[in-house]
This record gives sequence, structure tokens and C-alpha cells, in this order.
Amino acid sequence: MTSASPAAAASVPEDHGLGRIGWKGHLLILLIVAASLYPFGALLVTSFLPPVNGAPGQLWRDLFSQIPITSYMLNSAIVSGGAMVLVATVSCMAGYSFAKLTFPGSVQVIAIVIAAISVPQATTIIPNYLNFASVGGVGAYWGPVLMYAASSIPFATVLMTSFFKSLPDELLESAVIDGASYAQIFLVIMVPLATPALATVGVLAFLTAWNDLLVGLLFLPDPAMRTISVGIATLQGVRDGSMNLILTGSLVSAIPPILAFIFFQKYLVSGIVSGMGK
Amino acid sequence: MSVSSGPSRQARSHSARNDVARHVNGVLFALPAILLVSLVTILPLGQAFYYSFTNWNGATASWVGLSNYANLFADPELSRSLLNSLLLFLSVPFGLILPFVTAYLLHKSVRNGKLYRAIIFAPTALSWVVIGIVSRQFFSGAGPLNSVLSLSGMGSIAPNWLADSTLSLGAVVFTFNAALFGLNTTIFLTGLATLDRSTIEAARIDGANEAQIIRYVILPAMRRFLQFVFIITVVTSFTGLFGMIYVMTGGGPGSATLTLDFAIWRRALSMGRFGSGVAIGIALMTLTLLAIVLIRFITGSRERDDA
Repeated sequence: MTSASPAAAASVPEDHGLGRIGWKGHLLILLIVAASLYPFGALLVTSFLPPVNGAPGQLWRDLFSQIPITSYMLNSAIVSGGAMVLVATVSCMAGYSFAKLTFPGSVQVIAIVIAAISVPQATTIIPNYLNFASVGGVGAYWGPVLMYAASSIPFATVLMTSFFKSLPDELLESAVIDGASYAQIFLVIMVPLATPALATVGVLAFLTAWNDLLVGLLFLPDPAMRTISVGIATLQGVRDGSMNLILTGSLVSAIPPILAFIFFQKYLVSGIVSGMGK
Repeated sequence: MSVSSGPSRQARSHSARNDVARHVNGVLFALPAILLVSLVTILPLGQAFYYSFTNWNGATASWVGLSNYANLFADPELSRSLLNSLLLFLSVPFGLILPFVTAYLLHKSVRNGKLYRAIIFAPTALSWVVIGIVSRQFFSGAGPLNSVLSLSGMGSIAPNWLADSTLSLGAVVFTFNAALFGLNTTIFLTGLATLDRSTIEAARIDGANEAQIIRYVILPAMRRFLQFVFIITVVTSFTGLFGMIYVMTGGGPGSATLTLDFAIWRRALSMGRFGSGVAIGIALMTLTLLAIVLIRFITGSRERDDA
């Protein structure tokens, strides 16, 4: 345990002074790992098993022939991609302002933005629905894009602000002395440095929008504009007997978030945990 | 203007001009965020608060005082959803035990640790809609759970889980806690990685056993992480389960699994009772904030100064 020999230290590089776990601990871990795989297993097995009186793969053929799944996915991509770009742009600009271009009153504005994190979407959804309906934002892609963006922007702005605060002020000052405008400094110096933080807020915003049901259900009532979550959730009411088809559709809907998790896991964990500072 | 004071005045006016330019740019760069938050969060919050005292139906609204709020307790459907939200809240401390134990074991174990961590985190990628659908299949009459029960000779007690009001609420509470297991374990792992190894070794050398080290060294050092996980889990239980409830139970049978955020949908958007709906929304926000204050109080915030 406290061996000073380098060889022993190298063989247990991640020993934290707590010792090792026994076989019971290992068994518990294995059970938990198996349970964590359950939803993926259930989705895969159900979608590839042949249905009653059907051939293997029948569910996949039905999914693409009977349900406009491609258009659902496309609609989700449009609103989630739109929200992602808007959140990254707006929160990056605001973070730059709050951290480096403080103006009289900016402290109060930040306090309001932080407070907005605690307003649940369910609390404002009814007035939002009627407000958007009165200006044509219901039944158009830009309505849900703004709704998703607004729900992600407060947290994203707090995250971007703390990121820009970690950059030295001299970066800005020396560029100002060299005659650069604040917009040039933003585009040429700040945005490239902020890429990791932008990836975090962008991916989180994309996932929030992609996985949403409530806003999609209300703001895109036209069946041709349905998002994938709404498409799957409402399939249930129409076809009560086709649970397996719904599970197959769920698997398709989960592919983009799963890919995002595989490629951006490190940004996601750091982004979520950074919420602790608030 | 004297020659000697020239440069300093010039410098001062130059820096004043810079300040103005900086302030103008600051406002312009913050403006899109300010506009979006004002129009899509603050304005509708004000409207929700005002209309919660009216019988608003989307077109007309007349003042009804506190009756929408009184209804939260008087209306059986709404008082049931309050009770359900409270039960979900009370389940959270128990739901956090297993993630903590798992994180602790994974922190100690090194073999396959990276793979295990990735697998445990993976279900976090699934939306509440997908989780609700998987769970609905799991608990359905001829689903995997009942198949296992009958295979192990307990077929006689295999019930229709989601059709029974008590069992369906149990299924919802279970699914909610299980779905957040991966995220919470991952956050605990992040916290354990920040532990100071020398403190633990000092405790061990002083003769502390493992249980004592967990109780007196690790848990106090993890306070901020415990608090954070507790808060985000409770906030999710109050405000984030709409998608899961929608596909899993629809709030039923009856109102057995109705939560406050689902009640807003049921009341307002399918019954047109917007005044009642926004009152539930305001109550939901108030309860969420109260829960956060309560959690901060219970878990203590002595460490906030060095946070």
C-alpha cells in the first residue's frame, strides 16, 4: 500500500489510498453495468426480432414505409441545429461582454440571467405559446428554435462568462492598443480560444432541443413538421398495438444523441459539473 | 490649454472615449441574450404570475383572487399531483445511495474502469420519451419484468403494473431514479477524483478503518457534489418528467402518476383552463426554489466560501 518502490507504484497507477474492492464489489459493478446496458439491449433486440407473423427486419421496413421517420428526423435536426447555433452565438457574445466589456449595470443583468436559470419551462409555456401564436411562431420552425435557445441561453451564458473571465485582461488591452476593434478582437482572438467552451454549450443545447417533447408538441402542430420525439410519442395514441414499432423508432431517435455522447463525453461532463459554481 | 497639461488631458480623454466605446460594445454584445431572456422568460413569467389570479381562457380573463391556488389543495386531481411530486422528492435521497456506492467502488477499482464508466454514463443520452417507452415495455403485462417473474415461478403475482394506481406510481419513481443513475454516478466520480489522497492516507495511518474514512473524510469532502446532485435530481423530478409521463402512463391510471408539470398540460392545454395552468406553473417554480433552499440548509453550505 505504502510501498515506495517505483515498480509497485507503476503497477497501481490509480491507487487512491483506499485499497482495492473485493469480489462482492466487482459483482455489484458488473450487475450495474448490465443494468445500464438494458435500455439499449431492449431497443436493439425488440427492433430486430421478427414480429408475430413477420420476417426479421420487418419492423425496420415498416418504420420507413409507414411512418415519415426521415422527415421527423430532418425536422428535429432543423430545430435542434438552429437552437445549437443560436445558443453558441448568443451566449458567446454575452459571455465576452459580461467578462471583458463590463458596462454600467452589467452586474445586475448577469444576476437576472442567473435567476432565469431557475424558471422552469413549464411555468412560462402557456404565455409563451399564446405570445408566439400571436406573431406566427407556432407552426413555423423559428418558434421552437427561439424557445429552445431561450431555455439553454441562461446556463450557457453563465458558462461562457466564467470561461472568458479565466482569460487574462491583457489579451484584450494589448489588442486595443494595437488598434483592433472590439468586434475584431471577438472574432479573431476570443472565438478561437473559446472553441472547447462553445462545444460544451452547443452540444448541451442540441441535446436539450433534440430530446424535448413539450415544446415540439405545442409549437409544431402540423404533422409534416413534427420532430422525432413528438412523432414517436404521438404514434402511441394512434397505433396502440404497435409497441415494438415505437421502440424501433425510439432507437432511431436516440442515434444522434448517442453519437454526441460518444464524441463529446468529456465536454458534457465538464459542462454539467461546471453548473456547480452557480 | 497649457502645454504641460496637454498629454495627460489627451490621455484622459482618450481613455474616456475608450470607456464609452467599450460600454457601447458591451451593451451591443449582450443585447441578443438580454432580448431573448426578457421576451421568452421574464415577460411570460410576469404574465403567468398576473394571470394566475384570473380565470384566463386565452382570450378573456377576470380576477378570481387566490382561487386557482386554493384549487391546488381542493381539487383532487391537483392535490394528487402535489402529493406525487412530494413522493418523487422524498425518493431522491434513497435514489442517491446506489450511485454513490457505485462511484466509490469504481473509484477504487481500476480494471476496466474506463469502459464501465462509459457504459454507466451512456443511458444519459436517452431522452425522457425513449426512457418512458422502454420502461412502458419493461412493465407491460407481457413484458420482460413479468416474464422474469413467471420464469422464476412467481407468475401468479405478475400484475399489470401500469394499470394499477399504486404500482404505476412505484414504476414511475423507479424509472426516474434509474434513469438518473448514470449521470449522478458520473458526477460523484468527478467529485471523488478531487479528493486529496494524503488526507485519506493520514487517516489510515492514524488507524481509521474504511467506514470511518468514508464517514469522516470522504463524505465531508464531497459535500458540494452531494448537494449539487441532490438539487439537479430534485429539479428534474419537479420540472423535467413531462416526456416520460406522457409516453409511460399519461398521468394515469386516473391521476395516479400525475406530476405538476404534466398537470399544467392536462389542465390548460387540453381543457383550456389557462388561469389554473399558470397557477400550477407558479406553484411549481415556488416549490422548486423552496426545495433548493431546503436542500442547501440540510446539506449545509459551510464550504461555500472556498467554492
